[in-house]
Amino acid sequence: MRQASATELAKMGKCERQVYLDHHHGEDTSLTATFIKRGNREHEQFNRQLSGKDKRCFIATVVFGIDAVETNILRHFRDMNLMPYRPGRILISLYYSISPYIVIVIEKHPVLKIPIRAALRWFIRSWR
Amino acid sequence: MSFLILVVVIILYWWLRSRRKPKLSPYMLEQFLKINDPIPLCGKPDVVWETRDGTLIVGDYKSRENQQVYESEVIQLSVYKLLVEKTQNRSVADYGFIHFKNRNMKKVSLMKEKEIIALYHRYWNVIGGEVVACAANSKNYCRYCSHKHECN
Repeated sequence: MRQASATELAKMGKCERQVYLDHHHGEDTSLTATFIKRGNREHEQFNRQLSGKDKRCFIATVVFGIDAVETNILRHFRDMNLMPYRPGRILISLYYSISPYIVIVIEKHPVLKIPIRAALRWFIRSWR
Repeated sequence: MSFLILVVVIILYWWLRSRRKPKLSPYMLEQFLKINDPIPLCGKPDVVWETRDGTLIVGDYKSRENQQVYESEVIQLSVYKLLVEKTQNRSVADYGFIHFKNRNMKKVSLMKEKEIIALYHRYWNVIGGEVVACAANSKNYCRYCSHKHECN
């Protein structure tokens, strides 16, 4: 018996004729290429959101960006200086429970990003 | 002073609540799965969730704006359910989730194992030309099909 993928079997729910014609004449995705590219990008984002347990840095992400240098430095600080120790892990847990609400306030009042950015950059400089 | 105590109590409450295991946590993300029994199938579910009681639930993400659930997606999730059941030896829920943008999601009932097996055999019969292939229900679907000129 030959293998079939979930995606191939799913096509049976769309159009069996297309299944037959794709198999015998090949599948041309040029008409749907834009949708496929966008879909792949959004899948990556979905995956990142779910697997982002160790990538979370809510406040830094909002003020600097998800992959900014400062955000990565703060993640490194969290992983090296807080995660190995119990009080550090308690602090992280507390931070993750409160910070989503702080992020909501920052998003409502973007002017708050300026002092927060300055404070976090000062912290990064002091630590390094 | 009493306001400060109230703030501390609220923070402590939220912290204790956040430590509680979430109702759904990701068990597996985009892992390729393959089985040969009862039929040779493979697939890569976007996500397999684990509930607090240890039950697994399959999920798939759709990036389109329209949040309708189609038959093809039920088939896809049902195959994922069978793959997870056979590879993980854990109980898998007989429903799955379709995830849309803005954290919306819909619960869908899945096909039974024998329905998937029947579909698998029909799939190969369609490809082999042994049965007459049915056309899409919606003419709209044909608009983006690369075979629209040769399909009668």
